[in-house]
Amino acid sequence: MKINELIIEKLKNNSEIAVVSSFALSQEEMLKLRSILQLPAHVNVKNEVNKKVIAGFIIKIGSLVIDLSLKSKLREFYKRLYENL
Amino acid sequence: MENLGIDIKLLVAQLINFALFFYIFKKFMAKPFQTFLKNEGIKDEDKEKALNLAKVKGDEIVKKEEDFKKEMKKQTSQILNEAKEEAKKMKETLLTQTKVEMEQFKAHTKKQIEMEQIQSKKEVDKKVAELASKTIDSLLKSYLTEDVSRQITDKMLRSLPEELARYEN
Repeated sequence: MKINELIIEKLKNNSEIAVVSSFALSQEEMLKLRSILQLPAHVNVKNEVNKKVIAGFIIKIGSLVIDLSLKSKLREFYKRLYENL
Repeated sequence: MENLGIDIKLLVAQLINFALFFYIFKKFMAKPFQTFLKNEGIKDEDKEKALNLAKVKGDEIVKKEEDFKKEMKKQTSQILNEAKEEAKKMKETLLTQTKVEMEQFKAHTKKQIEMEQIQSKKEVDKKVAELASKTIDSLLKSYLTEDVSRQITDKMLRSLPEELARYEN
C-alpha cells in the first residue's frame, strides 16, 4: 500500500494530524508539509512543541507515526554504535 | 665232719628252718607279691597306653591347631589381598570419577567465565553507548540554536518524500 493511501486510510477515523517539533513551525513549513503529504483541505494539522525532539519533527496520524526527529536519528546512531562496539 | 667244724644237727635244723621259711614265704608272701607286681605291671601298661594315646591325641590336637593356624593365616592373607584389591579398584574408580568431575567443573567454570566476560562487555558497551547518548543529547539541547534546529528541520522536510517512500517499502 502506498503511503498516501495509508494516510487517507488513517484519516478516515481522524480529521486531525499532529506534528511534533522542537519549535513552532512556520506557515510556510506547514504548507510544504501538507503539500508533501497531499492532505485534503478538511484535515487540520496541529503543531505541538516539544524540546525533547531536539530538531526535525514527528508526524502522528492516528496510530501511524513518521519520525523524522534528530532524537530518533541519534537513537538509531546509538543503537548502531552499541551493536558495533 | 666235726673236725671241719660242721654240726650235723645244726645243719639239719637250719635246713628244716630254711624249708619252713621257703614254704611259708612261697605260700603267704611270694604269690600275693607276684600278683601285686603283675597288677602293677598291667597298670603301668595301661598308663603307658593311656599316655601314648594322650600323646597321639595331643599331637593330633597340635597338628590340628597348626593346620587351623595355617588355614587362618591363609584366609587372613586372602581377605587382606581381596581388601587391598578392592581398595585399589575403589581408589582408581574414585580417581577417575574425581578427574571427570574436575574436568566438568573446569569446563563449566570456563564457560561461565566466558559468559560473564561477554555479559560484562555487553554491559560496558551499553553503558558507553548510554553515556555517549546522554552526553550528546545534553550537548545538543544546550548548544543547538533555533536557527540550526530550523535548518535541520528544513532538511528533514525536504527529505520527507524519500522517507515516505521508505515507509512504503
